[in-house]
Amino acid sequence: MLKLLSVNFRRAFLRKRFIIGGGFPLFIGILIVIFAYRNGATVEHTPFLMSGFLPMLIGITAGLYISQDYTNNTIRNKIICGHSRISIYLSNFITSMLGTIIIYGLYVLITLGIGSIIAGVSSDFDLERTIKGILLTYCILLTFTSLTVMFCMITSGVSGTVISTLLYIILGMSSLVFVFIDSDTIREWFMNINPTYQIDNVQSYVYDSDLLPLEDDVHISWIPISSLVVITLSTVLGISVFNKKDIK
Amino acid sequence: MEYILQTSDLCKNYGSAKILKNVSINVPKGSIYGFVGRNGAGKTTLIRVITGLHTPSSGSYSIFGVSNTDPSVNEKRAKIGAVVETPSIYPDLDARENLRMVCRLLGKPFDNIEEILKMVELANTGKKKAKNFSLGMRQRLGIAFSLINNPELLILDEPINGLDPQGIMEVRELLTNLNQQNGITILISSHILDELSKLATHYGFIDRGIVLKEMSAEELHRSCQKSARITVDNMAALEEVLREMNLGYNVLTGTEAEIYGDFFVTPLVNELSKRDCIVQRLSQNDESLESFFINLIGGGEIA
Repeated sequence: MLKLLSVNFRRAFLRKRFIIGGGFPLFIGILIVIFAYRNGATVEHTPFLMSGFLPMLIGITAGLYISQDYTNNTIRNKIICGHSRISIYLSNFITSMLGTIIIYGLYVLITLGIGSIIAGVSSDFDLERTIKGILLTYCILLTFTSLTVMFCMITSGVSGTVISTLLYIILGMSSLVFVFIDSDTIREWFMNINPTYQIDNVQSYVYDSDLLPLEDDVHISWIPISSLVVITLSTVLGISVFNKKDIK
Repeated sequence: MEYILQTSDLCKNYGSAKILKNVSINVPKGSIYGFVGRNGAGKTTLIRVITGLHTPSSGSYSIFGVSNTDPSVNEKRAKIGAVVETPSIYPDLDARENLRMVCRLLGKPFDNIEEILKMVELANTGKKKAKNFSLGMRQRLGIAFSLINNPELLILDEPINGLDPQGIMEVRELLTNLNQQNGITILISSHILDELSKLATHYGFIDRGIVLKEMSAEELHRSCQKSARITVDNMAALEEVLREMNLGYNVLTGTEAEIYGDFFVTPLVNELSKRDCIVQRLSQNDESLESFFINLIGGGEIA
């Protein structure tokens, strides 16, 4: 596993695409800070401005990284060398998860860390609520990452990247099923476990605003649990499919 | 005989299509095993199964005596080097960096990279990225990948496909050296039969997913050298001598006959000379590997 991680980290963090993928939110973060500074705005909510965009960026970055292993056929080397498929899957999972942690961590560091020094925060800035919001966002982003890894590992090509990139939108559009299902209980359950809606829920919680009211039936406490469940299930499913998969 | 790789009734199906049908092969230690078959015969599929890229639908195989169902088979795979179809290289890296990547995968030091690059004649490629390599260079880099771990078994799928004559010769020399000097067993699949006949010590013939025959190069040689054609001016004398020498023959014309089996030419010519029979012509009818294979599969062209 360590050997695989060593190759993965080298491939991921020293390659152009990953650096561009990871660097983009930093660039946006810097722009946000400059914008806030020039307009006299505060930056306490900036870590959550990009929440909806980050899953797509992660889908592209992690998706391209994994699918490249298939398009170059270098995944064959790992199998032929005698690495187990579980190790190969988990090494890609760990690399992608770490990538997500670094990407969002840097974004938060730029927007909130440096931004608060340059542009400042409002007087009613609630640090505890913000940290909680960041941790919940992390949970959601890691869920998206786990789903990305699963789709890319079992579809073995660009199709996995496309699905991962559009996952945020696909999950958002999945609420259309409620045209046919008229049940508040199911709807509530669905809104609480769907990562796309969880992002809205976190924003509602952090902003604590009338514009985005936190509905009584929306529970942010569900997020860590549902993330854990989705990450576990998607990983188990991904590994079991990948184990039986024929690699071309 | 010690076998490094054995398959037993191996089957591989893709949906309803049966690609491998009860394939059983035995690769002896130290051999160069030529796996011969037309395009689509199942050669690559078998190699994919053996290298762990595909899972068998039924049947089993063993590598270094360890069955594919044994969890420790992955450890044995580390003793295998393989190039399956196109070499799996990192296109954005140069040859050295590519080999370093494989060293990292194997947890090996970078000690023998230069030696291997020299062996495959890629030591002078400098910073040239692998994506800019010619097909022959990529093929050699793929072979270099498989040599990093000092393999005991090298599996090469159509390694001379698309190479120019010079490239083919280089790969052939490399493989011969690896087999003879390093004692590496090589399984090589190809449909370029004449090239294979210059390398292989053992053969497996496959067609439509079925292994038709396994044989050593000597056996194949004997099967291919079926007869000698002789032209003489005294057929009666020839028949008499052939009977005395217990050789099978067939009279074709009044002056021509075919002689079957192994025999020494000089005693035959001497005997005929004693009977005032002049040998006007003697030629060996060699059946090529290609025609042998075509006969084996019951006709049709080799792709």
